Amino acid sequence: MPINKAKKGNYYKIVSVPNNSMLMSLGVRENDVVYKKDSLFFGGPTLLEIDSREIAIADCIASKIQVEESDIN
Amino acid sequence: MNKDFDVKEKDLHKHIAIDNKILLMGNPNVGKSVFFSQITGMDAISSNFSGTTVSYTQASMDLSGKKYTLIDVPGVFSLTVESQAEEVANIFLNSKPDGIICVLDATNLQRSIELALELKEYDIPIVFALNFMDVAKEKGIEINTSLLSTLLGTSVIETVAVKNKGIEELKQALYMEMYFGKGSDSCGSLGCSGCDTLEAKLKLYQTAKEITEKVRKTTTKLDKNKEKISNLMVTPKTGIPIALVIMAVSIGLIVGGGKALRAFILLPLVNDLVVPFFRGIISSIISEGIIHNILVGEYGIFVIGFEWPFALILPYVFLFYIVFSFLEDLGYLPRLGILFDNIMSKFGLQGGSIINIIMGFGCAVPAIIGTRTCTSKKERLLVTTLVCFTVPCISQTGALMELISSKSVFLFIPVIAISLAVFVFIAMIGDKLIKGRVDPMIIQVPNLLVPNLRTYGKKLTIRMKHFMSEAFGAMLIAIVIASVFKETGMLDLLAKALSPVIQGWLGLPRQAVDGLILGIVRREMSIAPLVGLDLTALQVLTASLVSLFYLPCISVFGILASEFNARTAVLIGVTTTVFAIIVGGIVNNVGMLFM
Repeated sequence: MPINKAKKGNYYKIVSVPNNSMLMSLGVRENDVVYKKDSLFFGGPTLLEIDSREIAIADCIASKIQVEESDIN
Repeated sequence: MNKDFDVKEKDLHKHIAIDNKILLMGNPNVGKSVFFSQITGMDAISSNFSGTTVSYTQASMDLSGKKYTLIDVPGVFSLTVESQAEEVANIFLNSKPDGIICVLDATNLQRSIELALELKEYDIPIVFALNFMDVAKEKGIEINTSLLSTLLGTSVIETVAVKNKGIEELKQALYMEMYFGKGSDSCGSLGCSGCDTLEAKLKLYQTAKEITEKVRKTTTKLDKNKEKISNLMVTPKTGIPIALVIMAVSIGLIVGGGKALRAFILLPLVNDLVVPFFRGIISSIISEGIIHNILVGEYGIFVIGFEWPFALILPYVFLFYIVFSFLEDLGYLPRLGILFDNIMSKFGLQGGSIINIIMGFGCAVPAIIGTRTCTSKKERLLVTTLVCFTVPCISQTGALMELISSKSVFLFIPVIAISLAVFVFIAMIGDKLIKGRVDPMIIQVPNLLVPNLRTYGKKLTIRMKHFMSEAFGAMLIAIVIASVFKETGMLDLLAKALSPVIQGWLGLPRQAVDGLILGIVRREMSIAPLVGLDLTALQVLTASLVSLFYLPCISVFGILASEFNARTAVLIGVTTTVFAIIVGGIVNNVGMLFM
């Protein structure tokens, strides 16, 4: 499922990420586990916590990040 | 005295030739500029969001009695050249520096170690500063610094740069590494062999992850309040009311405080003490005539030369930077960007652009320079155009406040409504006309920090000094031109020539001509000559709008020409002027039908 549609307050394992160097630099990478904090309404950005830092990703990019439930939950 | 300067990319090659260079590097927003100020004692503006240092700054530093040049390199996440900042970083790394101070963020260790490993590939003596140790502790993060030092093969010094903690130890460690170090233990031994390919990069990420896991222990967060507040700020339900309250309090402080400072302190001081003092002296030396009037007449250098800069503009500028610098250091502005990203994206922008636009309410020059952090040319041009067309600088806002509130505060409603409509209109037209695309927002949200009084005070001082040196000179030139024009009768000739536009189409008094001429030099000057005149409500509205959309000041022209090209500067100058006169005229002529 895309991360913007995933339930907030859970950990997810990233399955696929669009090719974007900024995402890669900020630690949004395949097979890594991220914590979803929130997705803002009306197509607002998605907030993720990675490696104890928070990242905001515009909806159009977040909708292309595929994730699956993580064992951590 | 050390020479400090912010150099443009075209001058970069001149400066890489300097001997005895030490590079200050790290991810964006790890506090490099604070280190720079602490180590060199020089001024560098720091903020709590990425990309404050968009070019680079250099100043001399002392290392055990030997002079070096410390270069504050723009923050990068990696050394793969994808942006201007990474290109600058690479050029410096290949210019034979003597040493590197790399700042690591204790609250974002894995990202920091990734860059650290890439830097270790270069055979340059390097030491690491582990910064934000205080914030990390609040977040329940513990780091085994000595193990990290062993794994990275060089010194790692714990620091809290804003409190000057660990800076001396860091300099000592760098000296030891440069003179007695065993040479760089390149990251080949740590699991990475060259970082150019994707495979190598993934391997480097893996090594960084392993190191992070070995040295970091996460316990219970000590300070949960900051996280709670941070969450409230970006959740729309609470974030929008918080944004409105912050905006209302900020405007209240700037406008209310500015008006109070002006009315009770500065105006009496200037009008009752300073001006009479100079008038007395000059009248006793020079008899009535042109020279006397140029000096102490209606537009006299010693009259408006004090009144406009000190009593009209200074209070608003001062209070704006008090509020803006506070919000900047707190880390609030990127959160505002997150909150408004969906709205901004409807106008072809992205949430992060809001920082440069808000900065434009202070002064367009840093806002335009700040657009260098934009990831596409289209976004740079779009934000710049919006700032030039619709965002009044704080000096101009101060003058507008005086003009509008002297008639009726209700006039703010149409002024704000029309300018918002124009903002949306320009954004939409710009989005259509400017080719290319605006990259969607991907940002690292900075830690919410209570501003450190020392760095906050220092920043405020730098900004006020900058305003004084930049603005007062230009204002004085404008005032001299005004008084010479007035006293030699040239102003009357121009007024006659322009009367069909000014008095006819715009319905404004003759003095508006003075404003339009002086407005070329400084934005607030387009309004200042009208302050204190007995204008109708429609005239106040028209004049406010004309000034708002009228061409930006001479400093903005300079920055447009150097950041883009002369053609862009001329294009923005001509379109803003024509647009201002068209909108002003429409408002005046439609208004006449109802008033």
